[in-house]
Amino acid sequence: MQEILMVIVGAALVNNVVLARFLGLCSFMGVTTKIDTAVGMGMATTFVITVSSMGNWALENYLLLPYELEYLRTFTFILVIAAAVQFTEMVVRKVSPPLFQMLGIYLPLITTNCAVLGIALLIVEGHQGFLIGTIFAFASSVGFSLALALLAGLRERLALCDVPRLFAGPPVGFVTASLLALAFMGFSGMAAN
Amino acid sequence: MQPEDDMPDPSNYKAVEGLAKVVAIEGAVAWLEPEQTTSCGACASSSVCGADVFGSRLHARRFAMDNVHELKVGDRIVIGVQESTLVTASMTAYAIPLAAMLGGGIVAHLLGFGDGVTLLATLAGLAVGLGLSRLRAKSLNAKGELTPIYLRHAPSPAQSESCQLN
Repeated sequence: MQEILMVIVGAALVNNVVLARFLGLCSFMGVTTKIDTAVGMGMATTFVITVSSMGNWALENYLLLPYELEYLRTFTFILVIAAAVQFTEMVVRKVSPPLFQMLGIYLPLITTNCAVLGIALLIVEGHQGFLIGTIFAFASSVGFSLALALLAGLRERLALCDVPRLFAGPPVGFVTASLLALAFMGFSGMAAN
Repeated sequence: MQPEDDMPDPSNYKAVEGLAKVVAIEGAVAWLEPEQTTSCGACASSSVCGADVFGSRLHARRFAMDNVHELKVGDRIVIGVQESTLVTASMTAYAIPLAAMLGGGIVAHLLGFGDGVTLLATLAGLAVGLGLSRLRAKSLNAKGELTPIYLRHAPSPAQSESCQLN
């Protein structure tokens, strides 16, 4: 159980996928103008990353490694991610059409989110078991959602501030994101201890 | 859809807003299609850009609303859902299945099963979670919490053209 907790803290905070590994920056800047849309995108990404990582782990260990097809890894993983997004879309539409009206717009964006592929490759390179790999994927995507929500909150406050005209909008958003990344560097001290 | 008297005051209704176009009227029901909100229409590369994928998804996102505002085909209106609804919807659609899925996997792992059985337990947890999610969504839908509401009429594209060009 302690191993699981260590994986969660390490993946969500110490090696945050956005603020330490700098993956998924396009959606990090693109959907963080409002907290609610950031949370919606973050939850959808969390679901897709976790499900696709399970599929990628199974393919890697039951197909690619036994048949020495590792050179097809990136290609296969991208297919699995696209299939996971499609599966999620079908499930949400089936579970509740009103939910699909609200949340469906985020799903295609996830297919092109490099964080999804990056996390799947990190799991494979770390030679993690199924459960630890899945929890690593879940915690990493929770870290992604946390970064999105934090930046969205800051940008909502910035929108009320008197920012110089040349800095207004995306420029001050980038400055804020870099300060947030610096703050998250503090968590690397936890890894050192 | 709420009766007109119960409509929220748009000035203090904190909503996630979107534009929708009336595409059909069937009796007392208006069918709406969300409008594409990207800037693809003004972009020279729109025909070869992946963002156009949203356009092809509009038909799938068509939804019905009671026509208490005497909407006509072609009208553009602003619709909205409360800001908190988006978070509630996300939790229902994603958090419940994820929790059940991870719970199934962790239980199998703690019972000492190998990776194969843990994988199957995780999938079983996902199936259970999706069932629970469906029940919760039905309950929210019955209360009308997931239904977008009419806020106001939107100006026609010709009226707002100058804004887009700026």
